[in-house]
Amino acid sequence: MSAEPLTFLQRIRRKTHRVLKAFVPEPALANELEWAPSANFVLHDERVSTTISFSPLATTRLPGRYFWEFRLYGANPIEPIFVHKSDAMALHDQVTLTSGQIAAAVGAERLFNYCEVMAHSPDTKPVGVSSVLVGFHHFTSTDGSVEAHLPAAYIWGAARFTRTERFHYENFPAVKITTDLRPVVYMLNPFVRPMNYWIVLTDAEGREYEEGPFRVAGKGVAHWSGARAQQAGLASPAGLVVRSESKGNAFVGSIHLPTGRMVDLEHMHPFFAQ
Amino acid sequence: MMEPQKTPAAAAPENLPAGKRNVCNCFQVTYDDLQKMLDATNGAGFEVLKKYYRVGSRCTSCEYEIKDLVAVYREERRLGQIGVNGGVVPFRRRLERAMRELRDAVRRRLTLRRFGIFVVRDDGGESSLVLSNLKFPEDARNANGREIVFQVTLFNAAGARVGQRKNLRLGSGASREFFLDELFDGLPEKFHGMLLLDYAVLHEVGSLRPYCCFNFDRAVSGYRGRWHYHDKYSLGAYNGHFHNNHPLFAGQECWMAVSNPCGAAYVSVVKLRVAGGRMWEREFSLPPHGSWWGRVRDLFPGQPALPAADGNAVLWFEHNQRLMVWFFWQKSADNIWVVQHH
Repeated sequence: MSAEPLTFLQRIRRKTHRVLKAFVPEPALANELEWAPSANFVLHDERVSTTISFSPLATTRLPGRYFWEFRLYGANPIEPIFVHKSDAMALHDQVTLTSGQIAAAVGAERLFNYCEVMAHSPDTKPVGVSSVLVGFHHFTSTDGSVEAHLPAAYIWGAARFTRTERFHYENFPAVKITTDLRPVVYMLNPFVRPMNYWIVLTDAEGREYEEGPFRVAGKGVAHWSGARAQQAGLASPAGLVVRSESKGNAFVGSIHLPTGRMVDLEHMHPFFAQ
Repeated sequence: MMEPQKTPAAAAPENLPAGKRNVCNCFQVTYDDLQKMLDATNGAGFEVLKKYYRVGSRCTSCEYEIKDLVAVYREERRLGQIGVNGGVVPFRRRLERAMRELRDAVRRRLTLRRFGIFVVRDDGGESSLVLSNLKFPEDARNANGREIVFQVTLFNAAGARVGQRKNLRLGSGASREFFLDELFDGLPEKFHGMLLLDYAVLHEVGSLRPYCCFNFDRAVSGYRGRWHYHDKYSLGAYNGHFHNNHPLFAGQECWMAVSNPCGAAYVSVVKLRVAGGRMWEREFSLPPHGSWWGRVRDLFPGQPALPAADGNAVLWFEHNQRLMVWFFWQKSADNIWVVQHH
């Protein structure tokens, strides 16, 4: 399989890289990965709902029995308030759960909660770098206020080398901050302990703007509204960084103020060291 | 049905001596190994252990446990009135790290850094390329220097190269948005294809993984909405299936964007199953570097119409040759588009 069209210099680089890889091997890593859990959040009220779907075929091609366990957390980080366990699923099966079903089960009219999924198989191991059997959350609303589609966030298991020093970081490019558009961040804490996080914006003129620390509870989700940042006179677009004490997972969105609608929501990435 | 794998009882973690249990599974570091590291470094902290021994530097799931073990080690030493300063790293470890850094520095200068992403310009909106060149916050300076240099190459739906822009630059700390018209002359009003982005020299990818924005809801003052989606370039076979869990969501039209990054044609079968098990399927092929853009419900011409909505429908591609796949959900009632890779 070819990666053409490459320039002559690029082809030389690629061949040299292959030779170098052969003579300078990667450090020994365990080759038996385990299936790892993933995190996301659920929104629900009279206007907004979340549909959660999972099929094992997302991350694997191996036939076997697959199990999907969904846990929703409230105030107590060690005791989920709702648990749903699937029956054994085949490779191409799909399970779907709605926030309406969850809200009815927990007796709540409104949900803004952290959730965690452990999808695994007793018959197969992860192959390659993806050790999470990923599900997706589809958010919709009757008034257009929240529309989004988010993949589960890796708590662990992203087998890439990422930059982490004293703090953990995730970044997001080219956020627009205008009189009409305001950035928002949803921050997940997949750990039991609470943690602090900060929002750092580097605007189009290279000025840095920081807010925080903000607290996010263990197995919790927090919301940063971006209201102060919007009034700080930052030049658009800006790079957005979330700094956190532990490895959190953040999603960056954008609110169109005249209509109040979410017009962007996507996951962030760590600073890659490769 | 496949039988569960049998793990020998002697190798089961619960049967191992406590010291032989892995603390860091990625690098196979046991509890005993960690104690030796702490002895050798006089009780070094997690950051030092990670830096010189790589423990906890891959998936990070052992971070809390290692920090706790360091705290216990230091506390035991304190109770025994044995001081720890945590500042000693054996010469061999320092040398190993220096060699590793040299190897990585050489490799980074030689490694091709190519990224790929789908772009579209249609009645509903248009894609723009967005980049932020951010310094890693704890570094004194940007690992990629004062600016990065890159080029972009655009392919049309048939996989033909329609343009290339070289020598584009982005300074450290800068963010930029590039619309297709700024990058390429003479593009038709309606266009879809694949954009490849090559960095000249990149020491670290850092924040430079490219994203596009799909700009929609055009007004006199510009677009009211823009949805980020990021590159999915790779040439290796995929371990899963490119798929969509919500192809027939009520009140929304699902569009599919597919680009073939490979120099070989992609030939596969795309399948869609609805609740109750009813299936739709067809052959699907793309030329090298070609792209496809259209409604999911137009994927199966000549077959019975798909249900208007099905919350448990799932769509997938059978073949594992690499593709780059995104789905766009259009909610016409509110004039909103949502984009996500799969």
